[in-house]
Formats: sequence, C-alpha cells, structure tokens
Amino acid sequence: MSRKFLFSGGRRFPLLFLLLTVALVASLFFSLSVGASLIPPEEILNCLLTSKCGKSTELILSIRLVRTCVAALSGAMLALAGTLVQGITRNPLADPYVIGVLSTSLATVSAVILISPSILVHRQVMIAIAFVGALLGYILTTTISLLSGGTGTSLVLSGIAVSALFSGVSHVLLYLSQDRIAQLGKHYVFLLLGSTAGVLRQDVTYLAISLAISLIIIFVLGIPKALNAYLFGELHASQLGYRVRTLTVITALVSSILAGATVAVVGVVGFIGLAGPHIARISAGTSDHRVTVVLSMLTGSILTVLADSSTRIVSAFTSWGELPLGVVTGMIGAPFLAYLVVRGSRG
Amino acid sequence: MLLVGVAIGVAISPRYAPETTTTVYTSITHVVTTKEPVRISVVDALGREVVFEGAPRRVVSLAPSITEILFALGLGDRVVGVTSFCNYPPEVPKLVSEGRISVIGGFWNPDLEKIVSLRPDVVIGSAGTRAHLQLKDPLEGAGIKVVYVYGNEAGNFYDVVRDIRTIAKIFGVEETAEKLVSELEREIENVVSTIANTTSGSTKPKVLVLLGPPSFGLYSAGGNTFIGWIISAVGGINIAGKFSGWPILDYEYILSNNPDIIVVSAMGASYAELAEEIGATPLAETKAYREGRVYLVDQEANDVLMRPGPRIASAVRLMASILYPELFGEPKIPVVYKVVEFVKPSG
Repeated sequence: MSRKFLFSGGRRFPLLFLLLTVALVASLFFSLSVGASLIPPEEILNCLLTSKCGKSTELILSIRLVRTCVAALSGAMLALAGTLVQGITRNPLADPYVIGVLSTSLATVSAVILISPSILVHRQVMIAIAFVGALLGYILTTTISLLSGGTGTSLVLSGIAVSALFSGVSHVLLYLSQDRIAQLGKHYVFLLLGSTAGVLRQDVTYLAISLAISLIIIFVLGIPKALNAYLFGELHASQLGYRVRTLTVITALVSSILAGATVAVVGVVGFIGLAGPHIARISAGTSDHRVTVVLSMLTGSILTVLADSSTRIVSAFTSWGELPLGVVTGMIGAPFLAYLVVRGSRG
Repeated sequence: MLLVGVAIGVAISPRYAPETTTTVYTSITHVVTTKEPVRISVVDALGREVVFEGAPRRVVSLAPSITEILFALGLGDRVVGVTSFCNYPPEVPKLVSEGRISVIGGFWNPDLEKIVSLRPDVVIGSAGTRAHLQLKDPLEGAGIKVVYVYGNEAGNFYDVVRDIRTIAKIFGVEETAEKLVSELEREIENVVSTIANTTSGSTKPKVLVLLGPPSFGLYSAGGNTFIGWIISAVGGINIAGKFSGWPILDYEYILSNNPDIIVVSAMGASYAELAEEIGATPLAETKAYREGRVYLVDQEANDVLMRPGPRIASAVRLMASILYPELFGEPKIPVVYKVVEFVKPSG
C-alpha cells in the first residue's frame, strides 16, 4: 500500500464535492416537502425567498425547516466525528460513541431525572446536562488513555471501559426512574433512541455553534494533515514532527464536542458516525483526511436528512407514528454502503 | 354432621363476607350442599383455560387496574399482594402500611420470590406486559394458578367489562360484577346522552393527548388505547386516532391538525414550569393554547385517565368536563391544572 494509492483520489474531489452538495440540496428540498402535508418545491421556494405563502404553510414549513436543519447538522457532525475517531484510532469499526461520550451523557441525564423529575420540562437545561455529561466521559476516557500511553489503541480500550461502566449505570438509573419517564406501554429503552420530532428552533443554534467551534479547531490546528501522517503509524507521525499524545487528546475532544452535542439534542443516532466516513472514503477513492473530512459531512448530512424524511413519510401513511430516527438511519444507509463496498472491491 | 361442618366452614370463609349479596350466598350454598366439587373454569385474555377447584382465597394483583377491579368486586379481603403503583381504593395503601397486604414490586418488575412467598392461590396479570408473561411458567411450576386479563392493554369499555367478568368468574361473584357493569354503563350513558342532546350538529372538538412533557418526546395515545376510547366516547376527535398504540408525533402533525384541547400528563413535573415549557414550543401556536384550553393532569386525574379499570365512568366524566366545561363544570378530580394564556391582541 503506497502513499500514492492512499492519497490519489484528490483529483476527484471538486466534482464529488459539487455532486454531493447538489444531492444535499435536493434532499433538503425533499425533506421540506414531505410530511403530514405535502408542499410542492416551488411553494417552498416562494415561502423561503419571498415569504408570500399561506399562513398555515408558513407555520408548517418553519417547523419542518427546524427539523431538517437539525437532521442535516447532526448528520454532518456525527460523520465528521466518525472520520476523526476512525483516523485517530486507525480502526475502521470505530464510531463517535466509542470514546464513551454517549454512556456518560445518558448516565448524567438519568441521574438528574431521578433526583429531580421536574428538570424534564427544561429542555435547555437537559441539553446542557447531557453535553456536560458527554464531556465528562471524554475527560475520563482520555485520562485513562493517557495513563496507558496515550495512543489510539489505548483510547479505544479506555473508551470501551468507560462505555461499559456508564451504560450499565445509566440503565440502572433509568430502570429506577422508569415510572417517572415512561407510562403504560412505553419501556424505558425507547427513550434512548434518537428522534428529531420534538426539536426546537434554538437547538439548531446549539448544533451550529458546536460544529463551527469544531471546524475552527480542526482547520486551525491542521488536524486532517496530522491524521494523514498518523495513518502510517505513531512512529511515522512523530518523525514528521507531530506530537501523538496532543493529537489524540485534541482529536478526541473535537469528536466529543460533535458527538456530545448531537446526543444532547437528538439522542442516539446509529450508523451515520460509523458508515458516513466509509461512504465518503470509498466514493472519493482516497483516505486523505483533507478530502474525507469535508465529504463525510456531506454524506452524513444527506443520509440523516433522508432518514428523517422517511420517518415522517412512514408516520403519514401508516398507523405506527414516527419511527425513531436512530434506528432508521441504518436501514436507509446500509444498502448504499453495501453497493459501494461491492463496487469498490471490483474496481 | 358432615353437612353441618361444611356449612360452618362455609359460613366463616371470606366468600361469605357480609358485603356479598344474598343472591350469591344462596346460589353457592346450593352448590355446596349438593356436594358437587366447585369447579370453576375461566378462559383468560390469552385464550388459556384455567380451572379452579373452589374459589381462590389468596390473590396477588400485578397491575393497579386489576387491584381496582378486585376491590370494586368486594374481593379486597382476599388480596394479599399488590404492586407499588396500586394506590386505589384508599384502603389499599392503608392495608399495605398496616402490613396486611404486601408489595410484590413494581408493575414492570414484579418479584417472583415475593409472590411465591405469599402463597397465593391465583396471580392475576396483564396480558400485554412481558414481565407478567415471564412469570407464568415459574408460578405454575410452584403450583400457583395464573390468569391474564387485558389489564393495561384494555383499549375500551368492552375490554374492561371482559376483565371485570373474568375476574368475577374466578371468585364466583358474577352477580356483583353484573351490578357493577350495569352501573358503569348507566353512568357513561348519562354523560354521553347529555353531550349528544346538547351538542348535536356542532363540530366535534379535536383533542391532543401528550404522555409527559414535550421535551421528553411527543408521545401520544393512538385510537386503540384506553384514553383514545374515552375521547371518542365523549364525542371528541383524538388527533392521534389514526395511529395505534403510543405513537410519537411531531409539531408539524400537531399544528396541521390544530387541536382545540390539549391534555398533558404531567408525570410529577411542576405545573407552572411545564406550562411555561409548553408556551415556549410550537404548541403555543395551537388553538388550544391560544384559547387557554391546555390541561395538565396529574395524580388521581392522571390515574383515572390512564388505568382501564372500574373508574372508567369517572374517566369518561372527567374527559367530558375537560371537553365541555359548560355542561359538566370544570374538572373536579385532583389534579387538573388549566394553563391559561392571555393572548395579546394580534395586529
């Protein structure tokens, strides 16, 4: 495996970027037009640009816009976090939750619910608590990882340890508080599945700020380039002048901010963080992080927006209500990933 | 001599407690004196046939609604175990605190060993609850009969009536059951006919039910649920009626259906804070919110609306007073908190 093979796909990047951007815009429009009521694309344009449309359409569209933005942002953030985590751990099976942010976030939230059930009505406070919980998980994982050498492998292993401990803790806590949070037919585990059904306008701001901060850190510190060097091993990276420990800590921090913000706002959304980066890599034909960091955000965004639209379509035409977004993403994305894998192995 | 002995035994047995009607007394005495073994065969909600040799004397209830049915049938003195959620009628918590009834765990997590240690003749559980179904084999292995009723799965008056009749049959108190059922029928009929007489021709009010604060997911009650049935019984339109079970809705669906009345199960949250939260969501755009017809139900009112048991007539009356306060007065069961929003005149 030569350097040339790994990083040869750069030429495809401009075209692919353009294509994926067009696809993202198309899926955004699709998402805005489907739901309990169908809105034709020209009316959406009218509403967005000239705000000359019916009062009810405007109301529905504004709500749908919030949902769609949250889906697009969280998809981009999860896939970006996935790219970073897979790079820093050099493990194609790693996803953003491997750093332990998910379980500590849930544990914090469930502990707070148990102590003060009234907190449920303060969405902002809940989001803040979940985010702080995610960052606590990051601190714990990196501390253990640094104690054991600070390499990518130790990061994965300490992440697994933290996840195992705190998912146990959060399940026990949720089990104890289930009479408060679940009535009748709803078992508490359903509450852990991500959904954009109840998101509000300010959630878009939270996600956008987290994404902006992360992107600034990523590009100011030149993380993509450093990760490229890291692909060839810790020794290689340090010979090129990168400090492996610092790189691990900062990359993990950025991934935790990204993943923690989505967990706090939307909940658990599977598959995107794992497969989004792979789809970007395979379609670009390169593992160059300068390319995949950008492309994975687009692929993650598209997949999540489509999955979110499909939950609304299902709700409109069946009697099941909204399916949780977190479980639909895999069903939407997996066939596409399988196609790319098969085609990639032939070409 | 033997006959006298039997007669004395019968006289002191709890079945002949003074509150049972004389007709029951004579019919069962007849059975005993003819010396035929009292074989009672019951077909439960799972379609299983359970045969009893004589009416059971010790019973464990696995659900609040089942406990309520047992007490409504005058079988309270045979109840030896209830769940921690069973709080009605008021003598249940009193008997529990006196140590005359044991708590066998929660609705979701009944404790097998505790149940067995109470040496019940029969355990009555809810057919749709996995934890209850899992108890079947171990209990039957211990020689304890298990009967499943619809319990929390009961979706309408007829399911509740079937549960009442099934339980009555086990204990040979069918006539008490028929009295109770016809009383419930009469009460419900009273409410329904009042509504029908006064509101004929006018449009039906659209109702949204939310199980818990919006920040925890917009869980509603579908058309085949107990609360869904109550809404349609009093002539309301449940906007989640086309769904089954407990669907998740989104704001878009809610706004495009624009409910006239919103009923939110408060689940212990502070009412003022919950009201404030609702005002900060798109729910504030609904007709219900603008006209000050958002009701938070908690404690007894919540139990009445959520439990498919003998308080079904109270549930119907409560929903009627929420939908038509001009006919039935404002709701009288604690706690119903009305969210009143003073709308600023819009330009």
